[in-house]
Amino acid sequence: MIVIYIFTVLNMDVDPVNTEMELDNKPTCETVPGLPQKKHYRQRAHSNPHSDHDIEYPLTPDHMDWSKQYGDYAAGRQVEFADIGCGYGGLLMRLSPMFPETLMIGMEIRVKVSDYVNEKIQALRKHHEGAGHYRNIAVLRSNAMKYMPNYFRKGQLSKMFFLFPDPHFKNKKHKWRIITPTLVSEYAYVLREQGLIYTITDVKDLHDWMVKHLNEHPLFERLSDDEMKADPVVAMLYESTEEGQKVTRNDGEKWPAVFRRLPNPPL
Amino acid sequence: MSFITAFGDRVFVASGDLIRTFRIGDDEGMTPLISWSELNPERIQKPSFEAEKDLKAVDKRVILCLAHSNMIAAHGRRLVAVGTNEKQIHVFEYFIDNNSKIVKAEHIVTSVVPKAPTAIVFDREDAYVVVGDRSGDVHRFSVLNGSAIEMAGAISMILDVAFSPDGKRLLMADRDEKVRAMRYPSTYVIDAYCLGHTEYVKTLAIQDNDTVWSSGGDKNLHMWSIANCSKPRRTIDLSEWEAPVRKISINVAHKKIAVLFEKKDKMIVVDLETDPAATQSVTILNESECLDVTSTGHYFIVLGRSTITVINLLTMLQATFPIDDELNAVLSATKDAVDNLFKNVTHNNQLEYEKRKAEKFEQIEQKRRRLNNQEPSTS
Repeated sequence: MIVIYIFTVLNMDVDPVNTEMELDNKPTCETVPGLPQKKHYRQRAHSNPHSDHDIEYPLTPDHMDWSKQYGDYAAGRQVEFADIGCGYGGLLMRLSPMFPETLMIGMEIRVKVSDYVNEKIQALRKHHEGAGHYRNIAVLRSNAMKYMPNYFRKGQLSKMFFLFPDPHFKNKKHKWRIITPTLVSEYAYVLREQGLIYTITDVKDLHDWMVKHLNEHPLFERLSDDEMKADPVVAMLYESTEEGQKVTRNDGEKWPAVFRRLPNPPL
Repeated sequence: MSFITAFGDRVFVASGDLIRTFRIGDDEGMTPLISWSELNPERIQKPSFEAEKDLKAVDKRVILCLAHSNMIAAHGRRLVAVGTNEKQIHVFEYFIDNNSKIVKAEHIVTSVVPKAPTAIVFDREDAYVVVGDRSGDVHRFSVLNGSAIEMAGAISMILDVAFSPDGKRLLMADRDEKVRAMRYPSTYVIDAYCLGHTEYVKTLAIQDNDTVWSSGGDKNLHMWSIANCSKPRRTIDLSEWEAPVRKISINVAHKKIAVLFEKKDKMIVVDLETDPAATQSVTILNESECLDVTSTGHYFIVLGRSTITVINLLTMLQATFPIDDELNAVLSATKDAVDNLFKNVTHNNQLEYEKRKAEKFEQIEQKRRRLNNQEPSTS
């Protein structure tokens, strides 16, 4: 659930040993100079995806200059992972060292939140300049429900993440959910065959909804429990985001599900 | 809203809640297709959608889109479908005698759409009508029983829908500059996004199974290959007419496209066989504003505020078809359902945010400096 009025004191668990660690899972302003403080970047949890936002998006994927996001690291690489509604970007920071050669993008429609993620990535990159960490992650303020094909070519992505999406509880708002039968077709367009969609939520009803619609979609099949266990990324889904950590603090349950992109049927 | 479509030499005009029909070259003039009082209540479907169960009550019924069946098969039915502001799709069937005169017209089925329809087309076999709507969804409705299935959608307002001639691809144009090609009926496979328009895409015209033309707010006429659509295969710049494109209609046999512009009295005919494409400006006689255009046989037929004009493509001569007073009154007052399709970004979140952020951090910095300055004196 994306509810982000959490007044965590970010530097409460500063551990001097941690400051020596190269890739700290909980960097703070003390350990990483210039790291943004979340208290300055709070924003309401919702944004209307239907209204005309002042979002700049490329005319086509060919018009997208990814060097603005990744600098020189974009040369010869293309974005392969997309975290849709990345929130405060926790997953990206965790995945970055796991797949250092893979470009990953977080998409977040809320201005302030995407700015926070960007500031954080910039600070982490600067801090680890020598080792070159975090060059492979970046954030875009955009509306994934509208502009996905403007950024990504057909079959460009190998992984898409939908972590703790807005549950839109009311029946009338269900069509606003980020997983709907028709939006899943758009995700199938940008995902390559064998590519994966990762979902996790603490709202059982939303979990059932996402599983139902992805299962029913002819271009996706659900991974078995064993297949999920074998994928190290699945473990990242639980705790890497602020939402996930909050649910843990509240002893809430979390339901993950992963789906594989099947080949298109023959014409 | 006012529309014109044709099948063979028979033309249909819809404006307000009127549906009129006539034959090109027929002296008999224009007749109503059917009266709304002939709607058969038993053939009006109940909505199957969970949300928005209530039928929209409207003061006055207004037709928002119009289509005619394809009649590919020998036993094909002569069907006319309209979508209205009550969020209903009505399908009518008409029967003709040996002289092509309409002897009977009847109400076949009425379906309910979840949102106001914006575009309508029959699939190749005329088994379904496919309807795009304002919220960005595309549904199809069985002509047989009115049952509905969601076909595709995003959250961009759909402005046009069309089929490839083989019926295997459904194309849709949206307000977010996109033309999308999907397989039909397996619309979950999106074959292509044709990207290149810089404003809304209002109107599509299909040349063949792989070739589609599109135009709209950016005044460009783009031609796309669905199989290879990373960029337009051809672009015809229509900006010299200084108005957004309202409607295009292709005459495949004559390799010509008719173009109408928003609030203009002119029609442009683009000759696709010349390169660069030759354009011919056609001033419609006694007309102040062209509303819709369709193509059939050797003709383009233009519907205007006060006229219906048949343009012979062999001679480029115009013939004005007389219209009755009732239709005339409706046409002169007709309004589009969506007045302005251009983006309406009322405020710039990003810029406002950056300004607020700069101010906020400046305040924090000032406070820090103040505290630092105070420290030596207080200690």
